[in-house]
Amino acid sequence: MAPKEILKIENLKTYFDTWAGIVKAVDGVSLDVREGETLGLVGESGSGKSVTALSILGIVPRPGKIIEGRIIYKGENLLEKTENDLQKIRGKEIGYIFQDPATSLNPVFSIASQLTEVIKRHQIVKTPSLRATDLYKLRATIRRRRDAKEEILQKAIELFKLVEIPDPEIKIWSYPHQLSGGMKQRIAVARALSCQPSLLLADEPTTNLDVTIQAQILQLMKSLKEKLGMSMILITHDMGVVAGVADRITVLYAGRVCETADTRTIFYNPKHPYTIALLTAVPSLALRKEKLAVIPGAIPNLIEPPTGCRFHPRCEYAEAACAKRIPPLEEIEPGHYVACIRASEIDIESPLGAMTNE
Amino acid sequence: MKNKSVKPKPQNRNEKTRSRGVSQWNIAWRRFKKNKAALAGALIIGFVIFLAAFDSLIAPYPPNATPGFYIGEARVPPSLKYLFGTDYVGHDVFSQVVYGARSALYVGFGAAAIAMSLAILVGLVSGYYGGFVDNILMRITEIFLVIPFLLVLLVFLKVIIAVIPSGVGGLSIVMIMIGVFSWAPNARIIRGEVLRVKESEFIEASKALGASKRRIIFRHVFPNVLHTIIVLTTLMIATAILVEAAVSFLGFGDPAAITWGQQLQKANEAVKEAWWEGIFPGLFITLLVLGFSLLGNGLRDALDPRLRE
Repeated sequence: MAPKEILKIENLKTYFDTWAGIVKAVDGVSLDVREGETLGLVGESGSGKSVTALSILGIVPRPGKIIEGRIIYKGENLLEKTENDLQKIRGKEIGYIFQDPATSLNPVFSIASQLTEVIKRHQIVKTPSLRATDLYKLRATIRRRRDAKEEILQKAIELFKLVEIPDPEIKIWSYPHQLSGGMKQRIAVARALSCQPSLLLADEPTTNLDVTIQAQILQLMKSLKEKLGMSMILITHDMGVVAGVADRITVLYAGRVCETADTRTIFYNPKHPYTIALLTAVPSLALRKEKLAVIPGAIPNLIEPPTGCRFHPRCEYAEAACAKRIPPLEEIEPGHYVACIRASEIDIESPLGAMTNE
Repeated sequence: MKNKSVKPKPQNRNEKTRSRGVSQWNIAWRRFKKNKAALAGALIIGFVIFLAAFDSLIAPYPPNATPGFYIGEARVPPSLKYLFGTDYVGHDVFSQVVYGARSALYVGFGAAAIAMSLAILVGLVSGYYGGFVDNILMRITEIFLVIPFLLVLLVFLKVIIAVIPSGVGGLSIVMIMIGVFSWAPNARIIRGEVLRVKESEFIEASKALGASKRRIIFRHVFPNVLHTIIVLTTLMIATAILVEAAVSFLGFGDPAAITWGQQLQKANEAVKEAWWEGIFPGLFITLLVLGFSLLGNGLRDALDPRLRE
């Protein structure tokens, strides 16, 4: 039997009520993450990947609002929790890595103070509080506070070692502007891991890094995930990235799930035309083509999305029925879910399929 | 004046700071040191603070003394005995200018403290919370922005100084009134900065790490708008000094207080015969305000993170 689910999202709808109209950024997304696995969340820009992740933590920026759905984390619905309870979960139970390491660190504080802040916040190490009433043991309290501070600092240095930053004792006192992009992203990873979360949300963690650093960071995240036994949601638009890291992949398009399956199936036996189109658009050295394939058109306006299947205006295989009915997410084979009414009819080889046969 | 290349000189001291990391404050200080105009401003302010601190030692005559009155030395031009001359009742202008330094700084710092506290409070809350709170606070700010500042100030001062017995903290009332009526533009600027900072990813990151709202405002937003606040405070001090001088000059200040504005007002009636009565207090007002403006500009250049290297 498959391992237990750590996170299950059911029919999540997050809408943004703007003056131009209601933007249906996430419109009925369902997905699940099992214990110890990495789920790749793939889609074009604007397909609702980030909003889904922010919804999990309940930090969707205004005017965004979660309209309906259930986010079940370890058996509890996060949407029913109070802000106070959520604050205790954020960072401690669920870590988050942001896209741009350059801006996700506060420029005015040293790395040390930013890392220790999280550890202090979640009371991994307790700092004894100073109270005027125990004046007679003031010195002991001060000493214990100093020890606690030292312990927290040691923890932060441990984290630095974990993310493989050289000279942690010195580097920890530096400020964000003194570090390179790759270094900052390592620190962002360290900060997200500081309280040993059970689930890590990585929102395009490698998009703003150059390719060699990308590989390093991905390798690091992969090995840390194994070491700490967490689950991870990796958000990306880069099929190459998910291919290397993810166990399963969920493809999003315009706020809806198109296809969910394990990585191998997505790459070699995709059923949804959008997944196929995405794979065709991956630049590849092996499949050298004259021109890079593109998906015609752009992601639809989410204020008035196309009726029926949202991909049908751009879909090669669309027929009249596609515009009428919202295709349900159906399990066509064990663990392989597709939202396309023609999924069984379309039988084309994956653009990568030819490669395996050789 | 802009630094072309900031290379840490291979000094022992620098080696030490490097191992602890170079904070934005270190960078700002390095840049500030290079700015001659700002240093000059700081020097002027330092000089006036020195005058105010040791006024009774520096001034040859006690406050309100009229050494020239009984010996027919009213309105005598500057000489060795009276460095800046004497006024129509025989006050030594130099002594009065020295005593005026304390009033100027008192009003300047006091009014700026009041105005900036209000501005920071309104700016942070309104910028961070947004929505309904922002709407209400900004409408109040706008009320303060549209009232003709000097006119209302004069009316209030006239009433308040008439109500309380003369000589009881007249200067403090001027200071409080200036503070209460001049926070609005600063609140707007701070709110704007907060709006910019709160969209940064590190704010979102600290939310994602479980920080509370209060913590985000004070620990993440406030330090990031601090550079703006410092600059605004400096310029606010300059404005407050200038406004106090204007109010006193127009005859609405506290007549019992020794301020440069009061001296200007008294000199007003004899500009032709006794230029020294007005020139010297006027010069000091200009100098001090210039000092704060130069310092403010220098701080802005040094602290603005966007202008880094």
